[in-house]
Amino acid sequence: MEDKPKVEILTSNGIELEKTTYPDGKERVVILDKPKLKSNPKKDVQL
Amino acid sequence: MSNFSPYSDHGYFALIKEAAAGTPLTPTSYMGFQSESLMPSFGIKPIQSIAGDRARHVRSVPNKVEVSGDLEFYVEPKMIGHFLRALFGAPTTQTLVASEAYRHVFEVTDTPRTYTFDIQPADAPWVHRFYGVQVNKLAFSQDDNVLKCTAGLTPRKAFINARILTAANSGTAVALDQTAGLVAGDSILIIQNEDGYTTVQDRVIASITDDNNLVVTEALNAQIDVDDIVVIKRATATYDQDLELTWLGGGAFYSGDDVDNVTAEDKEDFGLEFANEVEQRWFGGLEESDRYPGDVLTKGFIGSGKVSKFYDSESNLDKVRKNAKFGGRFLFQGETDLGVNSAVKASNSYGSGNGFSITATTAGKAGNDYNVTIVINDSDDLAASISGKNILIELANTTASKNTGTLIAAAVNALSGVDGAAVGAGTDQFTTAEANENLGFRTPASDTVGRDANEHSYLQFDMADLRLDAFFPNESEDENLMEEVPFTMYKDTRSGDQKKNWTSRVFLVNSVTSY
Repeated sequence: MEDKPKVEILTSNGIELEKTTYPDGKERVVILDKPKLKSNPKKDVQL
Repeated sequence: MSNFSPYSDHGYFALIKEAAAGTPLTPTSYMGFQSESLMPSFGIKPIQSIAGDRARHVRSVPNKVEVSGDLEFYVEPKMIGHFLRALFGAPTTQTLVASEAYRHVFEVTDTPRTYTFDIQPADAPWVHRFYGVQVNKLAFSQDDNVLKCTAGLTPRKAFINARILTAANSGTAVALDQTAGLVAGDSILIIQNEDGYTTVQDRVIASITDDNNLVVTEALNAQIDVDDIVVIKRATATYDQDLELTWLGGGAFYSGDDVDNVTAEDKEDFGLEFANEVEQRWFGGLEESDRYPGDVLTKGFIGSGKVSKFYDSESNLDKVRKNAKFGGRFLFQGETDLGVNSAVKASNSYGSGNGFSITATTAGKAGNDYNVTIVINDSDDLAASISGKNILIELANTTASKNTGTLIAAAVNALSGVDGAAVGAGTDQFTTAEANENLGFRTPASDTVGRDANEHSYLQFDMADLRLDAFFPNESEDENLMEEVPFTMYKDTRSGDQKKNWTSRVFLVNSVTSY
C-alpha cells in the first residue's frame, strides 16, 4: 500500500495543473501559473 | 338500535393546508389512519364558596378549552408531505420530471404551517373540525414492518357542534352560538336536540355573517328550535395514497463521518422524532370560540431518535464516550414507480452565464451527495480538492483572473467522481466564498437533481450532526446483549468550512406537484 502522496502534472480541459492524490483517497488540484514539467509540452504553448 | 354504526372504520380523516394560519378551510384530501386522540377539553370551573353549606360544588362556569392529541397513521409517500410541511414549514420543491416526479426538501424554518382537519367519528353523518392545527411532533417507528408515524397535534380551535339561538322555519338566516370553524360552502346539518341525531334541516352555508349568524343557500322549510344542534355534514371521502413504506426490505439506516458520506449500517429497529415545542395562548373575548386558544406560539425544534441492534462492537460506546459527531440518514424506498426514465446526473452551475458547472460523473440519486464549498485560499493559487464526496474550491486570494470559470472547471474536472465544464465563455471571475451546498440544491430552481433510472418514490431523513446520548449494553441471563442507542440531532456548525449549518433535511420524492 502506498503511503506517500502521489503528485502528477496533467492537463484538464486544456489547462495544465498539479494533482496530488493522498493515501486516504483525498485529491487536491492546483492550477499552475507556469508549466512545471516539460515532458509533455502542448502544441499551443509558445516558448 | 343504534342511530348509526359506531364501528370506527367507517370514519375518515381529511385535511387541507390553510392559506392563513387559523382561518379554516374545507378539507379536501383524505388519508387512512390507525387511531386518534384529539380531544377538546371543555373545561369547567367549579365555584367553591364558603356559603353556609358543606357541599363544595355549588355552581360552575365554563372555563377555557384546551385542545390537543395524537394521530397515528402508516406512512406512505404522498400524505406524509403535509405533516412534514406542518412541522418544518413549506418545502423547496423541484421538478424532476414534469407531471411525474417531484422532490420536496423540508428543512426547519421559522414558519410551521397550519392545517384544518375534519374527523368523522365512526359512521356519524357529521364530522368534528379542528383548525389552525400545528403539528408539534412527528414520531416515526416501525409497526410490524410498516413505517408508522405518530403526529402530535395542537389545534387552535375546533368546531364540534353549535346550538341554535333563534327558532325559525323559513328564510335563510340561521342564528347559532358558534360559527367559528365553519366555512362558506360547508354543508351543515341541524339535528334535534332531543336525540342528538335526527336531521331537521340539511343546508349549505352561503355566507358567515358574524360569530352568531350565518346564511344558507336554500330557505329553511322545517322548524328548527332553540338548542337544536348544528354540525358539519360529512363528505364523500376519496383517497389518493401510495403503498405504505416499510422497514425490512424498504428502509435502512446509514451513518458516516458526515451526512454526504454514509454507508448502510445493520440495525434491527429504530425510532425517529422531530418536535416543535408549542404553547397555546388564550385571549379574553365575548364569544363561545374565545374559550379556545387565540394563538399557538411555536418555540424550539428538537430532533432525536434511536437505533438498536445486538451488541457486537465497541464503536457506539466509543462515540458516546467522546461525544463524537457523525452524520446519519434514514432512507425509505417506496414501491411506486415514478415513470420510466433514464438516470440523471446531479449538477450545479455557478456564475452569471459564463461561469462553470460541476456534474457528478455517474448518473443517479447518489450524485446528490456531492457537495461544494468555495473558500478563499491562503495563497494566490486556485485549487480544488475532493475528500469522499466533499469538494472544496480554494480561490486565488489576490488575482481574480486566476479564478475564471474556465480555470475552476479545469481544476474540478481533474477530480475523481465529478466533471467540471466551463459555462458559456467561462470568463466570469469568482472572488467570493460560498457556503457548502449539495449538487442539485444550490440554486434549486435551475440545478439538476440526480435521480436513478425508473426511480421510485422515497422518503429520506438526513441528519448532519448526530451525537449519541447515554446508553450501555447491560446484561441479563439468557438474553442476547442489546444496544439501544439514543441520539440527538444537532445543527452542524463544527465541520469547518464544509459545515452544513442545518440540523436535518427531509427529502420526499413522489408524484405530488406541491405541498
